[in-house]
Amino acid sequence: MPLLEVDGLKVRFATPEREVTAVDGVDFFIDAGECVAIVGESGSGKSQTLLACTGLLAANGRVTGRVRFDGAELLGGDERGLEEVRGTGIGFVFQDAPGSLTPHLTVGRQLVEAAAVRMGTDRVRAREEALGMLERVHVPDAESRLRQYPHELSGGTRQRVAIAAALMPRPRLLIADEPTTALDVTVQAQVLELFRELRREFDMALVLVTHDLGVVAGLAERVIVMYAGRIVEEAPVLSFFRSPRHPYSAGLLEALPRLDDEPGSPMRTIPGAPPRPGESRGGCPFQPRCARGSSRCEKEEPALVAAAAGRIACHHPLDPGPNS
Amino acid sequence: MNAPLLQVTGVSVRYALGGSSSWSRRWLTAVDSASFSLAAGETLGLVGESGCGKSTLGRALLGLVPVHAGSVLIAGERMDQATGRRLRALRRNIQMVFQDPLASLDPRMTVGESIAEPLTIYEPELGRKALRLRVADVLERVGLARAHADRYPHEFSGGQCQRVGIARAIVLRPGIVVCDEPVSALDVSVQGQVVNLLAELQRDLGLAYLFISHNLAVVRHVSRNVMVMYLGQTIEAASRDALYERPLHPYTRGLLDSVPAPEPGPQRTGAAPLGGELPSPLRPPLGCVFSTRCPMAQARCRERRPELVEASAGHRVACHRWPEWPDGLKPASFS
Repeated sequence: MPLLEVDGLKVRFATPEREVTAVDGVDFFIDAGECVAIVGESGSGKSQTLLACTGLLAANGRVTGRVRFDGAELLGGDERGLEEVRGTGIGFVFQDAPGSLTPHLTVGRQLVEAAAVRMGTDRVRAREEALGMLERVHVPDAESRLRQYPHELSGGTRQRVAIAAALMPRPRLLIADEPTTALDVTVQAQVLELFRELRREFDMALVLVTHDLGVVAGLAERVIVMYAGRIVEEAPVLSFFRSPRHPYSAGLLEALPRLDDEPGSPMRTIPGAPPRPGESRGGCPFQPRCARGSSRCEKEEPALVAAAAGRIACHHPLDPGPNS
Repeated sequence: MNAPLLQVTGVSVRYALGGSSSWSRRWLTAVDSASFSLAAGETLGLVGESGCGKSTLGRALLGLVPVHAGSVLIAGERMDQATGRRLRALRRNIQMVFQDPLASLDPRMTVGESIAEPLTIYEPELGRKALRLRVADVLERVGLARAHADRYPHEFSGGQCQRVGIARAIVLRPGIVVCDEPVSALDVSVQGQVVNLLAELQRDLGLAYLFISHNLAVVRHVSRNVMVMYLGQTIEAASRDALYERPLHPYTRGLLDSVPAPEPGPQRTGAAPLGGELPSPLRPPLGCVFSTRCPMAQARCRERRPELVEASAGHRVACHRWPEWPDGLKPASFS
């Protein structure tokens, strides 16, 4: 049984003008202990998918579909069950710590509270654990950090503290939404290294929500690509990078600037822009930007079907490579 | 030889912090004695992490932040000594493209009005019709349609907004454009479109770019020369190929090694090339500014700040130890 199972998830937002569909029928699962990256550009619905799974959507959001964590229904169930899962089952790390940490509580207070969820009210032990966890995520000078507020910390240290707070209840699933995007490249490398260590040690599943394919290559075992609120491809990480099957995946990989590109050469691009949420026109959502598109793609939306070790939603997929 | 289009010599930007009396006031040096020159049709990439002073330097060139010391010459003329009509002419020659394309446009003005605004200031004699023509012309140059002039910024995608930002910067026909993280806020699939547009405009109009970015891969695509900053200091500056293939400063090497390769494979187990974090600019290290994080640091590095010296023609570096690796630091030198 998978740890997290999502079926037919839809997310709609009511806006003053109209209803906007941000996530349009998404199915996937996460097994215990594995690392899955959910990749997409702005407006692809990747963040809303994960927020919806755990009941953290904005107030004007409406979710339908089924989400099971460890066999228990998360949607439509009572708020208490959801609370418990959020408290101890699933941890969150967001792009920048303002999303993960409370600005007016000291680091120590936040970590102790996170630990208390699991251990009851033994504050002395919780404080010890908090200190241990800060040291574990390599926060320098951990003892004095406990008395500091989030704004007194650098961006990198704040993100380490946010990771420590998320790990305090020992979650079985950690969801990290763009965890390194706000960080400088040298600090980003440090945080990636930390994630690799923690996965080995804590035996937890990790869902990375990101647009950064470098981060994906460094951590993930499986990749789910989202476009316009749908999953368009899913593949093991090696076959995704070596032989992507969806023209969008292939385009993204080509468009990614690399250090070993021919210096001074023009950059590869995908023409056009991703559609905005709610801008649906029937047919394949990627068709207006796709070089392989046909008249069929204009009319008929491709279904997400099993292919080799993954899934693909495309009428004219690229050839599977020798590696898949 | 002609004077370079832009000549920057020893430019420093300092901010006073704290009290009004000289007792309690402290100084934060955001940019310390930066020097470079830029010729027409050329791009200088300016890289470094947040807080290194790269954006401040770009803003200082436009007069958006006060220059504390040093000189900025545009086509041989000192900007700080120019006044009135001459200063206006110099300022017109250097324009800027900002990081956040939507935030840099007034949401209540049509795109056409935003683009026309600098023209109405610098060329008030232009009539309505002439103004519309200039706007239409520049819109087409950046790959948009004439009809887009009547729309509002929120109707555009991020990439289109950045095209408008570029149109606004070039409508005065400047010689120099400071591009401050021009593609960082854009989706990957769109970044290349904007970078290629900038390259095309450079070819057609002979623009000189100061291209400020934290993305080393993008900078490599566009730059002829690259300058690396750390905590306000210029720590290395060289031609693109020298900097990427034979970096002399350990920080440059560490930056290059930190870029995650989009290839699953052996690098997945690698340790981060550089530990630690940027020190506070209020209390910069005594010696070399990078000494607190440098894997190669020795006692002298912590005591004495290295001068920026010319290691070879056109290759400047500020490091005590570079003579020990005159052919550059190899990848993964620190692991």
